[in-house]
Amino acid sequence: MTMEEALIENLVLGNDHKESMKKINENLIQYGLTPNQSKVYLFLTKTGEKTASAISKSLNIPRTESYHLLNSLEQKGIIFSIFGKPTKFNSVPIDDALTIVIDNEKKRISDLELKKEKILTLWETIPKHVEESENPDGNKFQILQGRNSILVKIERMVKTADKEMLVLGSDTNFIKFYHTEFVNLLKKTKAELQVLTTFSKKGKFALDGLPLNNIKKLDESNRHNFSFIIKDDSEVVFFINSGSSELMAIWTDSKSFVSTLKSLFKLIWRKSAFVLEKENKFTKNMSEDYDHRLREIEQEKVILDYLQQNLMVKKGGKNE
Amino acid sequence: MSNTISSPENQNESRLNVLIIDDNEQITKMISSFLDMSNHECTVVNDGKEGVELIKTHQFDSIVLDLAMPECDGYEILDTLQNEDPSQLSKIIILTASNIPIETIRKFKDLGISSCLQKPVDIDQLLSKITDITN
Repeated sequence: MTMEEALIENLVLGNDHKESMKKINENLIQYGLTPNQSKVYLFLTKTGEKTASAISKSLNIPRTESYHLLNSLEQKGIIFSIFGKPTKFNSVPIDDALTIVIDNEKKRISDLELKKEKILTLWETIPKHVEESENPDGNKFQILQGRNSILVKIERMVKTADKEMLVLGSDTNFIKFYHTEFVNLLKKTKAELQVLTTFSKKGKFALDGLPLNNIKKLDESNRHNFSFIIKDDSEVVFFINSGSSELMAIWTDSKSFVSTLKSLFKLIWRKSAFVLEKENKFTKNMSEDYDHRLREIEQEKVILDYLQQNLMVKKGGKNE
Repeated sequence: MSNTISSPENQNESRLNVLIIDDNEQITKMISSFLDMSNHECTVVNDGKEGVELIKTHQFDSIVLDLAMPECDGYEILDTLQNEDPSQLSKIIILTASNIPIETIRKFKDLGISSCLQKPVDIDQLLSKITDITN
């Protein structure tokens, strides 16, 4: 490695900022870039315009691959080439690049939604050869991996629930869904919603927005390390603590599984108390507010009578 | 409020240091007067936050606490004490005009709270609850 290459590597991977660069790199991968695309993009963003050859050498990527990478990044719209001999490349500033990548993803999703209709229409034209299952409500199991696939399943459950949605779990589990549509989905349900959760001081924000009338607090004895969501008498999503950072859950429509968990839920629900009643005060009706004020006045009167009586006794005593 | 007026039946009892936390100024003034008459020392605050600070910095024999107060209410005070100084919970007498569900009363009991009284409460009953704590 030449001195210049070493300097560049230090600049890109920067000993001082190695951790930050690593995190940015990981995040860019979540934005749909491959690890090498992310590496090239960050290199150009940090060092400015470079030839394909310089990029290839500095990042230790084979020349042919670097051309592919540059080409794909250019197609994504986050780098551009500068005419000349040899051709040089430079990057779009990172904030613009992120906006471009997000817009691309949105466009891709909307294209997929359009294609879905087309595929379904085509599918209808194909004659069916498979017989309908004799037991459509049979014991189906499905492993859901990752937050998004779990959310998609919950969304389907919420939309089709007509009786009740029962949610049990510690709020630390629900924190993993913070900044997602999780709470909004539950709020949208037309079925009766019952939530049993730890509602801890640190974690209750994860359920912000849910009506408190629907939430009961899991007490210490019931704080088992499991969470599940039940829809009517028909489906359940059971969260698994796999130990990895990725969320995992099992979805099933097994009647025995659903009814066992539902019995457990109902048992705990009966024994549990609603969360802070104080926050319900805003939803109390006028009559309760009136009763409250009336009791305050009565209390004032009781004390006043007592004080007057005692003062009279004292005065009377003095006079005597 | 003068300490010279005292009810004869309480003159021999030890002098207690009582904190009243209630946003209703009429009630706090009157309870304070009645405690004065009973020869007890009384500190009054009409704001929950101030109440928490006082509990942290002073020693009281008994704390009469209202639940429904603006900003920092009785539940928040109980939360704070549960987290920071649970030993204070046994000194608390809840005096509220709210309807308290039986589950909540059980919860108060589990926390070790001395009593939960609904307004209007008989004055002798309140005094007996206050003195019971120290006994």
